[in-house]
Amino acid sequence: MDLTLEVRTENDTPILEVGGEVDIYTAPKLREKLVELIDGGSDRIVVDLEQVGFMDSTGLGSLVAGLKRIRERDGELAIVCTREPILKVLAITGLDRVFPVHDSVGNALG
Amino acid sequence: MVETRSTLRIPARAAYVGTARIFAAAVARQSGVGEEHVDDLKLAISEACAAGVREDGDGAIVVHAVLDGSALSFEVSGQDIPPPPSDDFVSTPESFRRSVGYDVIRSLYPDASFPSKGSAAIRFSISNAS
Repeated sequence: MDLTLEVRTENDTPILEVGGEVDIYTAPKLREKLVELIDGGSDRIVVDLEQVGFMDSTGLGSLVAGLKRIRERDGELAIVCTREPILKVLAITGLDRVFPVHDSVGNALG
Repeated sequence: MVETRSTLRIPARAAYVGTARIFAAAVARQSGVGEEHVDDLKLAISEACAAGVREDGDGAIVVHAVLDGSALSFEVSGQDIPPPPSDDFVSTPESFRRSVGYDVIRSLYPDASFPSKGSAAIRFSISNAS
């Protein structure tokens, strides 16, 4: 399954909806989209992973790259995810303590 | 007990790692591995194959699956799958990425073994296949 990336805006915050599979092949596209949003001036981004069927550590690497870049601007990057396999890889890598992880876009925007 | 072997050979390119996940999941389901374990297997296979991806795309990654009784074992080998980097030698983004990938595999399958002298393969096993 290919990666899909769609951006919508809610409360002036870009919501990056990610779908499909994020691995060593598709992760660079996720990274590029995050860089595009951040360099375009977004200092607060919500990454919605609810439609992601698979993500490995290379996908998480793209999220970390985005987080580092946005923090250089004192910005923040939040994740929306309730999918157990993805929460598991976040926990294994310890990144669940690095990213704010929310169960809905509404709560992420809270 | 009859031993069943399945093998997948893919180019050492990022675009083919998803194929390895599909292969491993299919073998696991056919071997009676519970669905609750398939996601872990796909993750480990993805990490292992990612370690074998080469920038120039040359060479191959080979995934062997062996069902022996109730044990399903996987071996991922490739031309350039390196040993785990030592803690004081995670010096590049690539070695860091690989280090995280190996940690993920180790976390999912504590019995996993990684390339070392004389071996260029990542191996791990699932013990509850029926």
